[in-house]
Amino acid sequence: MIKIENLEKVYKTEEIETTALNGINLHVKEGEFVSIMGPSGCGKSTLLNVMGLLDKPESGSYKFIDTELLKLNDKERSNFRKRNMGFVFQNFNLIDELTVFENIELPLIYNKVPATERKRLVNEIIERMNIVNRSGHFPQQLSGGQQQRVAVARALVTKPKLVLADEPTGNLDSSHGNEVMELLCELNETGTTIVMVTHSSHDASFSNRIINLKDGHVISEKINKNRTEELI
Amino acid sequence: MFRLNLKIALRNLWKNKGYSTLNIFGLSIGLAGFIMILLFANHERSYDTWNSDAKDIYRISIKWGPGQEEYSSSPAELAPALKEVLPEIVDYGRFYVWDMKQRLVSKDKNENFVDHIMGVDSSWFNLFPYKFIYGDAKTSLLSANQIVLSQKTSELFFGKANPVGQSLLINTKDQYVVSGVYEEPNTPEHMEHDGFVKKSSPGDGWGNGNYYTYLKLKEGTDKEAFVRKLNQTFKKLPIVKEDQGLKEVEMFLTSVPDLYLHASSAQDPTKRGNAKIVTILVLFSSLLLIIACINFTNLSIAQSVKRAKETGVRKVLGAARSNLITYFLTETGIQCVLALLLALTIAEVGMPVLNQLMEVKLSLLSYSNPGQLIIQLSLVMTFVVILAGGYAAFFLSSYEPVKVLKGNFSRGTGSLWMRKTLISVQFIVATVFMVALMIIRQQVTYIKNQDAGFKKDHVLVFKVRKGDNRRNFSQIKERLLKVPGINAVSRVNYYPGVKAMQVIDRDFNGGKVSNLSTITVDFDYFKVMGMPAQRGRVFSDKFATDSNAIVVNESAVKKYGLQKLIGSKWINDRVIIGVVKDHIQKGMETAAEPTAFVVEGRGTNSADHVILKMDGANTQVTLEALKKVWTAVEPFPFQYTWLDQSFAQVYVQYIRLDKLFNIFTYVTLAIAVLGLFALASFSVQERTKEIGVRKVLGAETTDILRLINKSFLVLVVIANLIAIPVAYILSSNWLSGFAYRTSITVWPFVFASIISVLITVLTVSLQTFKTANAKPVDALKYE
Repeated sequence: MIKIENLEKVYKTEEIETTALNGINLHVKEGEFVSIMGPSGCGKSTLLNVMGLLDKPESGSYKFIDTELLKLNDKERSNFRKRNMGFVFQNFNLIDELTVFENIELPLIYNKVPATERKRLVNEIIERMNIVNRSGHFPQQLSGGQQQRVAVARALVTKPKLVLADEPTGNLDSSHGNEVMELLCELNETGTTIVMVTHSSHDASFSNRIINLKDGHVISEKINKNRTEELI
Repeated sequence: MFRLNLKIALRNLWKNKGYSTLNIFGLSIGLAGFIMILLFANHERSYDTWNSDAKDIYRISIKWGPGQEEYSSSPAELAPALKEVLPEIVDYGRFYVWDMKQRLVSKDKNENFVDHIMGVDSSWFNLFPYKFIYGDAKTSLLSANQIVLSQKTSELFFGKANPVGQSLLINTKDQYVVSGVYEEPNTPEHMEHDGFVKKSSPGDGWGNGNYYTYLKLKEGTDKEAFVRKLNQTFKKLPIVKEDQGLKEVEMFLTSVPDLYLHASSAQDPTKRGNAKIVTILVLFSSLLLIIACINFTNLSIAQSVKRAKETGVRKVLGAARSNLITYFLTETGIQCVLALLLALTIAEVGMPVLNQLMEVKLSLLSYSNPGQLIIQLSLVMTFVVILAGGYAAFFLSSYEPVKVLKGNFSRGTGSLWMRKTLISVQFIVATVFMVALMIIRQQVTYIKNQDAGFKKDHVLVFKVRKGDNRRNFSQIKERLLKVPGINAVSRVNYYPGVKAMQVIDRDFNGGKVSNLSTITVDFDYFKVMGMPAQRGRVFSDKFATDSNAIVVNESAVKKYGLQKLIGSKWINDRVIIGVVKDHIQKGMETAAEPTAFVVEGRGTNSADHVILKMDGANTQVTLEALKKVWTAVEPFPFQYTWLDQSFAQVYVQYIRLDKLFNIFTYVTLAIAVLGLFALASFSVQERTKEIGVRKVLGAETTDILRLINKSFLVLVVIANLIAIPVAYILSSNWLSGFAYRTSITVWPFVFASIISVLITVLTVSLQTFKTANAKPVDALKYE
């Protein structure tokens, strides 16, 4: 589904140039759950941002199914993103002024889904995520685990082909973290492709494939047999 | 402690150079506007303040009967009679109305017209103690051939030398000896004067109010009580018992310092200011200053998040709240002082613009009363520091240190509400200014286009100086008519735009004809003025009887019920031969008055101005030829005015007001936009994360622009809802002072609202666009 070839990304400041991605090649199949690991500053978040069309690389190719995404203009990128991708962040990134329901509804609004349909979809996902009794609450009134459930719900409500998760358990204690990982696995089992950046090998063990980055290079790839078998 | 505060404050200001500059600049613009208007208002209120006795000196004005106008002149006999019976009157001084004329003064070959040589009582300088450079005030006006000169007039003829004892020739025949020279006072005065002579008449009888009478009362006399006593005492005077005409007289007093701004009498030779305009200007410049302060507060609070950590650390280290308040006020104080210095510079540079608009000569560097200005500015600056810095100091010092240090400084608290209120207030003021500007402009246009009732283009007016030339005018008229380009020639005493008027009361058929304005003219006056008869006919030299006829205007017909009298005899046995349309005589504030026109003759005033109509084809040539003819008749320098230009004087102050409001409105809008820009910038900064998240979720740039704009537009709409009724009340109140006024339409309000909305959208969008258009990842990096 995803074919990334020779991707390069350089950060420039006045004094130094930092190569964050240095000729990355990466393929992701539909329905896969891929973890990206590596030390701080290895470029894993940058890679995720580029995959999510949140950032632009200097060169390379990024094909999603058969569309070359790096050739799209800003508006097309934005359209493509909102139709095909969902995001889960380490710090949840919920909007404080909106209720749980409204937070989840937001991407549907931007996708111009009619109001009645929006209501149905949001209620469906709220039920699935087991946060029905929280739908009128504001983010600050929820625990971290609950907030991340809301964030996952928001990422899924548009039924994206690809979910990108940036350290989704980073701000959670282990029991809440496990809960979120199980949620992602469930999702993956229903056919959603997931790419996740993580520090934690425990979290990575939930995925089919683990890619290790260092200094902007892919240094190793490991197939997680337990999960891959399930996939096959 | 103070030195430390000062050091940190200066470093902080330097660190945030951009913000400090914006803050100081915004405030200095508001201050500069305020200082300029303050200077002007001080000037307008400084009339006659040089005279420390002025508050105890009053001018008498008189209503000769109920329902009549109040006149500023009174009979000569009044003051001596009153002084005899009223011990409160310490002294009095009068000047004679017929002595108020331009004179040709000559010293050998040095000839000059001097406009204001006043004929006064010899006691004049007891009331108005000018500083004598030469001569002695006490003995300077003892005889009829003495003349006292102002320093300026003296220098015109004698240079810097002492002229006392030297002689001057007045109007080519009367010899005067200079008896003194006085220094012009350093504050403006209600009467203009270039010199004084002894008045030329002891009195014209009780029935003739030909004098302007000033009473000097004992210090501390209660004015109200004295006016009552004055009127009661007057009624008991023997002359009042004899003369029935004096029975219904009512007298009023206006203190000398009040004459310029607050005198209410008609036919007043004093200079008149417009107290209403002074008040409006002070009010609006204060508003300008207040919104500049609001701006300052807004910018300070907007910066507060950056300062929160610093404040937290200070608190943890033991700073009390009062220490912090002192610190923040110090910081504000420094900025205010810098803003003041900048404002003084801007004001001094901008002063010529105001001077030109208001016809004054003011400058900060040569200001006549610097002490007063320093005190005023100190008070204003204290107020500004408290207003501009007070809330910020209070707000910044109230952070709880633990919360702040934990980074748990959340927005959406009281500060946001406060800032929104402040920005709304700015927009209320800006909208009021815009509406006011548009309505003033509408009114000025209306005034300019108002049908004055006569044709004022290519009409020239000049004075006839010799009585003989008036009496033999028909021959001179023949000669003037021969000049190519002159179409019609006549004479008049009060041409339109002249505020003076002869107002008469006559008995007719057992009834009373009161308050009839009377203008003395010559044949062909209506031809010159383009005022055709509506009924009957106008004066013509073909009818010998016309010198004893009368032409009235429509208002007179209406007021005195003359519909059936046209063609028959009316007051003074004069036949009403025709009716002309009403015309604007005194200005836009006064509706047309019932007016009669008579041809100069026995028992009329003199029509002492030539008024003539040119064809306008070759004005310069016509003027040259005219000058030649006229200087052969009267060998004086030829001075003339165009009627359209002199008539424009009746509304020139409103054109000035319009121009001033123009400046006010733009400056106010500029400050409001500055504030909006800062608040929008802050708002975007605060919501960067939210914007990033929304973009990740699919929001486009337009969605973000709409989101941020919405919150500001709500404020602007609320501000407009408040501003519109306020502006309506203010402007309809202002317009009610005009007899000729435009009607208030919905458009100024609609335009002002649209402009404020457009400005908001533009400013906020400009400020938001960068963030809204940035890659979402940049926004999320702020995490």
